[in-house]
Amino acid sequence: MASIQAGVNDIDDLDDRQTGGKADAVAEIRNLQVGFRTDQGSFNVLDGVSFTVRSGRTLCLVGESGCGKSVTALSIMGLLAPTAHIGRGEILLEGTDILKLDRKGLNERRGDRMAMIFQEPMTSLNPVFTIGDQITEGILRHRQVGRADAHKRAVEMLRKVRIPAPEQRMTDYPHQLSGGMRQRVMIAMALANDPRLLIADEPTTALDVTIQAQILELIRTLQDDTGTAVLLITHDLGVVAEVGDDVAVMYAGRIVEQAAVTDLFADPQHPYTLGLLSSIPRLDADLGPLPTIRGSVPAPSEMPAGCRFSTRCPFADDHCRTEEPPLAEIATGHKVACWKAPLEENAA
Amino acid sequence: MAQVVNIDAPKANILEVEGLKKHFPTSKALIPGGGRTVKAVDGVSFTVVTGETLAIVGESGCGKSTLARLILRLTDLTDGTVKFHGQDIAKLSERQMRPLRARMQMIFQDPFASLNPRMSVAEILTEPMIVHKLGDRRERRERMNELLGLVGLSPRHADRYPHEFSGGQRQRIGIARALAAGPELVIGDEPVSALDVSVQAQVINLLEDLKRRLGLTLVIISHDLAVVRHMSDRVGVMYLGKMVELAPTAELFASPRHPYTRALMSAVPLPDPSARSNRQILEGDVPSPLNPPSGCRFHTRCPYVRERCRTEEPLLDSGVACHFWREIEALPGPDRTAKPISDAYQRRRALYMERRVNQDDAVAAG
Repeated sequence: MASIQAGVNDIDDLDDRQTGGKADAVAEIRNLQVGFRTDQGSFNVLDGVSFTVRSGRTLCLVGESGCGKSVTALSIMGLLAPTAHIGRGEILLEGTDILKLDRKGLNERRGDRMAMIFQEPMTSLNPVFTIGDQITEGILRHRQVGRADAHKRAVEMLRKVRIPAPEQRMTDYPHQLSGGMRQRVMIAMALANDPRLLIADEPTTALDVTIQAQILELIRTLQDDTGTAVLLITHDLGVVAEVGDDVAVMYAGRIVEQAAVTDLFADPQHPYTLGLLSSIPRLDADLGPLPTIRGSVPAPSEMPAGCRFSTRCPFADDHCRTEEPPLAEIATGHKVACWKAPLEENAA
Repeated sequence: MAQVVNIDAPKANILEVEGLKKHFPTSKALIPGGGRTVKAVDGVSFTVVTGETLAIVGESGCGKSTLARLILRLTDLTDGTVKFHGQDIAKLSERQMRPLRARMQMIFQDPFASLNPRMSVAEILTEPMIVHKLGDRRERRERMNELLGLVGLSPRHADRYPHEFSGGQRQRIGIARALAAGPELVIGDEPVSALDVSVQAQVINLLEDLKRRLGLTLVIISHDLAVVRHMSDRVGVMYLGKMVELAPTAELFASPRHPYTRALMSAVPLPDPSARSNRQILEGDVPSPLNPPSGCRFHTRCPYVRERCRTEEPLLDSGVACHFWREIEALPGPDRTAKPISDAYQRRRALYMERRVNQDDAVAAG
């Protein structure tokens, strides 16, 4: 717990004290800044991101391509590309800053205390090993057990993720399974060592909608059993509404709004959140021409000063274009980074 | 002037598809269990009325993309007929087919893969006109500028290459290319699936606007029911190479008849936490089209399956291919009606839309 002292002035610490009754913080990301080096120079793709993932709860990171949601996940897992560098910030996993760990310390936690499932289960499974081999490998790596026990545990995990005839499936290769089944195998592998933190990066984006419903339901049931903290990364506000407890909306490397899921949908504050919500065609209603968000996300090399959304925001003024708005609490547990919030008072 | 236009008069069918089949043989040498056929499209019939938007919806492997390619004869059919303005295109030679190709065009899903990276936007947009011998050099240049304007790009983009554009802009180029030869029928194969939501909304609005302005007929192939609801007049639902339901959009969403349509609708997560419910979740995967189930192809996953479904194939009748749809329709279905949105969201949404219009006006004014 030595690293807690590093962030005494951090807003999140105050929050934790005020909401002491809440579930345990499994992972705390504090003021994380990640840059990428390119031919044109170095650019921040994450710029001061902070959030907490709690035991038994699902935090959704939602945003469009390039907003930094996957980079956040990869930073936590220590899987960033060599061209990326973490400028500042802390990633506390059960109180330990994993950015300060050596490779051995990180490897002890990866696949054990924290695990990740990816968007494309075909490319994240090894095609030349059986799924049984791949699940037992992770168990043997982290547990003091023999091959027979690891095998038993792997079969048990396949049964938990509801793969029919799990004993027989152990000898299958990934290509013999459907996309949905492969994602179940990924989940079995990720949860085999009872991680405290599960990161799911667009886990259902590559799947058909009926299979997506199965997988989301599965993650939720398993989470109920184990109390794992889940960080779910998605571009789909429907998925957020369906499975999330808490949500952080990301735009261009910053969190622009953070709230309980019900509050975000009932009381959306940030103009970007409003734009996103309004621009989705609805299955349950046809509301006429879709409101859009003007233009597209600026390239990392062309990030504007001040609020990064100011180039596209219909409410932006000079203040927004020069000074960055802080992520400030607007209601209990609801934060927004916008000078104009609440809009009806400051922008009507 | 007296209104003599009879609005009930049947409009002409631009496209008539009858008993369409496409079977792909699999190689014996390379694929275990090869030497059999994949029945990607297996007896599909429908018509497209001039000026409407027909959506074909279904999950991976249902045959919807193959269907799109068959309509344009990008692949040859195994059986059945595809009539464009009454003319059976399957019987035409490649030479006879060519003039028709200017009249029916396609927009592809992936704006990164469907534009030649070595051609400038000007070349991409004028190529269809050259192929179809439309206009001279100057006229083609004028038409190209007009096309760029139509899709919300500007003439200064003409000399750039695809990699210089964002995904949304590339899709606009793909749309402009499809329009270059002046088609009547445009088929969009997942035209907005690869795009982020805010850009997706822009492209959906663009397609609807172009359809209205140019009097196009659209066939939209999609896996996204919400997009389909937003864009289409009628919807066909496909499962494993068969059309299982075909109905006007409002009707389909108000009272889905086929158990598969009901399950699809139930599976879509709505962007509204208060709609979280005990959804009906289909068990299992879509069976392999190499070895589709007997009888009704959906029977292995259908929650209402009975003995008859396993043996007897239901035909598309009253817009639905299910033996028991009358009983099933009477059962409570997926509750997908919109819950009222909160006052706060409604207020800010109105404010956002008002400012958004001003923003566009300001941009238009320069």
